[in-house]
Amino acid sequence: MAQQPDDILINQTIKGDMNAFKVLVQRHEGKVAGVVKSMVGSVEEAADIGQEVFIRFYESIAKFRGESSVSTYVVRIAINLSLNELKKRKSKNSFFQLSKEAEMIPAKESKHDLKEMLDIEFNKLEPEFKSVATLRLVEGYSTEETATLLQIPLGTVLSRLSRAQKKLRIGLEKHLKP
Amino acid sequence: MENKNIEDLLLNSFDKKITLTEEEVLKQGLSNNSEAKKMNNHFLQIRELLANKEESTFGFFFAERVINKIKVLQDDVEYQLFSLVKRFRLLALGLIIALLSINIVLADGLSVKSILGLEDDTITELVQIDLYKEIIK
Repeated sequence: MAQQPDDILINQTIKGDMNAFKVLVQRHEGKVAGVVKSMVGSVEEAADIGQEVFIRFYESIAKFRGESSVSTYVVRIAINLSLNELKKRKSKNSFFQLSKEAEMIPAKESKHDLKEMLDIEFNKLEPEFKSVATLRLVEGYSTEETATLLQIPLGTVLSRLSRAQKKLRIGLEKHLKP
Repeated sequence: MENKNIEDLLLNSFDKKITLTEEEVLKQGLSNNSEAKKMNNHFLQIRELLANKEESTFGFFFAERVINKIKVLQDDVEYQLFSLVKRFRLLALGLIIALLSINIVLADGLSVKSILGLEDDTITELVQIDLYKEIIK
């Protein structure tokens, strides 16, 4: 079953075969996890969002027409749910958010490597920049694919990418090698 | 050329095809301008560090957890009702609009009574019943 293409597994799922759906989850977990963790951080909520992504996919599987690939479909759900989570955090502006950010900021004395500092700067990006940077720079989608996934014009993708990288560079300038 | 323009050109060159002229300008900028060289190195480092090279995961038995959650939800009556409403909401809305339209057409005009499909007599009866209840009290 693990070798079967997505469309066959979808048909089997519609007929009630949960093992087929399990294979679909296993097959696309990596992409979804990459996107969600990059967007909301490697926090507990990431796995909850991941679960919700596949539950939504399961609920709409009968309507899935195959106009886009399963990967594109679930990544789009993942991006939307992650953006909702970021919005929720922002609107709460609660202790939860402050404590999460505090966890991410290294203590002055501790030595954090460049990657950790980059993660901190990345987490400071506004959601619209973060989503573009996640798909293009972290997950390696092309700019066209990024535009399709986010349903925004290519020009917007390019300008957001450019601004995101400028922000990251400003935040890290002292730590980057010349 | 200004550093800001070089920076934009540089960033563009990473993500889209730039023209031959732009390519030439960028090449010159990178060879003559130390600040541009530094910028190029910085962006390359950032992009290299961001690129996800490992397969991400939500932890052990993630697929099993998803399947279990779906099974739990399927057994939940409230969830089932919600799903049913969600699935048939367009149909229900269409039905309501159709019924209202039929009432309006049959009543030959737009009024609260025609929308609700009530005859004059029905309203009078309803009022009388309410009055009767008040008297009994």
